[in-house]
Amino acid sequence: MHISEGVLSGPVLAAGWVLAAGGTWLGVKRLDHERIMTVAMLAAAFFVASLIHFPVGPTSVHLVLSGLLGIVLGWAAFPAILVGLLLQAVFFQFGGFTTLGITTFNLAAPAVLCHFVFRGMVLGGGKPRAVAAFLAGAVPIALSGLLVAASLALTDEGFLATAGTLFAVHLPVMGIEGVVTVFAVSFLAKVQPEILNLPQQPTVGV
Amino acid sequence: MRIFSLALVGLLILCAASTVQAHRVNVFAWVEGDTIHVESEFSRGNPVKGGGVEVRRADSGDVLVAGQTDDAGLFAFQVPESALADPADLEVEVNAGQGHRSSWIVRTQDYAGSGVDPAERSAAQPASETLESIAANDSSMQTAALDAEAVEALQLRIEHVVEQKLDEKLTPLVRAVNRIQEDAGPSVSDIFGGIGYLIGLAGLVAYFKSRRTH
Repeated sequence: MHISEGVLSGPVLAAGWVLAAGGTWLGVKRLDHERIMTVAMLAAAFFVASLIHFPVGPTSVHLVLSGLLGIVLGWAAFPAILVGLLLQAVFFQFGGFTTLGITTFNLAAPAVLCHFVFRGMVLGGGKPRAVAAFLAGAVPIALSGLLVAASLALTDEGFLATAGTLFAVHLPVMGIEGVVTVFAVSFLAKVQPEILNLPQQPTVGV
Repeated sequence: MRIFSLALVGLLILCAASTVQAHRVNVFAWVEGDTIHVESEFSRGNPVKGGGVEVRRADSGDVLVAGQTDDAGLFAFQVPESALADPADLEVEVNAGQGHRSSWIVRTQDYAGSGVDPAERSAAQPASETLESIAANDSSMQTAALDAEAVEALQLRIEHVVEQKLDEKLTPLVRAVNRIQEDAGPSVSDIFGGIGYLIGLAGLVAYFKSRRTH
């Protein structure tokens, strides 16, 4: 999902920065004192996940974990993904610096969306939690693929062809991310349930 | 369930340790004779199949050669005549699709001597004839009469052969060096450095938030 430097046109890059900045601002503003370390830990997981690779057909894909960040962090997924991507660009030369904004938005927006869609079911527990966690892990990957295809289509590549390839290539990733998210969520629910509780939910936690 | 989760976490860490690869497109190019070879891959041993290749002059941006990588991620082209006539750095760009793109610069000095120009080749031709005539007339002591022109032709021919042999021997080395330079990949210190930055950032944010509340 990393877009290289020099692929996208100026307006697309600028729009990406504006959207990413908005999301990051919201995320930081709503960030509770207690959860700063959780955000950092999940950002670290996101940062390292990109090193886990599978060759798929003519290309190669890696874990993203954006769904897990979304379901646990909500809006704070924006700053976590932005910083994670920045560090990936600095240390691993993944993607580019100018494309940081658009890539942050492409990954974080679907994650936040799935947070609001699947959150209730995840808090419920039992079988619905597992199903919701799987979907929360898998769906953001597909949506991010669509967003990446759309941003590429705005510059040069045809939308349908790119979206098709991205979707096909990321199918296994969706499955793996779904399973990883199910395990991570059930693990957190047992061991550190407070990590899953959002501060703005008055019924649980404090 | 907890054992499963722990096993999974352990497995992920193992994966991370054993498959430390970069997810980006790497492009290497090297010169052999008058041909420039291009190799492109996603990560070690994972070639870019059918990636679009464009070769441009670095100064003017004119596209000189265009093509596609084969199933091994390779592409080769002759040094373009226009580049030989008016040397410029060549930018070899591989577009692997889905927003993955990377390039490699072939410097002027890398190919400047390699494209043997036709004048040199024709000059080298009579040299071998001269050699034969020397061999034939050796007994009659005509070696001394070898004229300056033939000596020069002979020199050119030797230069050409030595260059060819050197190219042959050095190509694997140049390739390996290019690959090391391009594909160092993330090291363990990179990974821990990144995690350290994240923890440090969290500390900073916590500090500023706590200052605001007090």
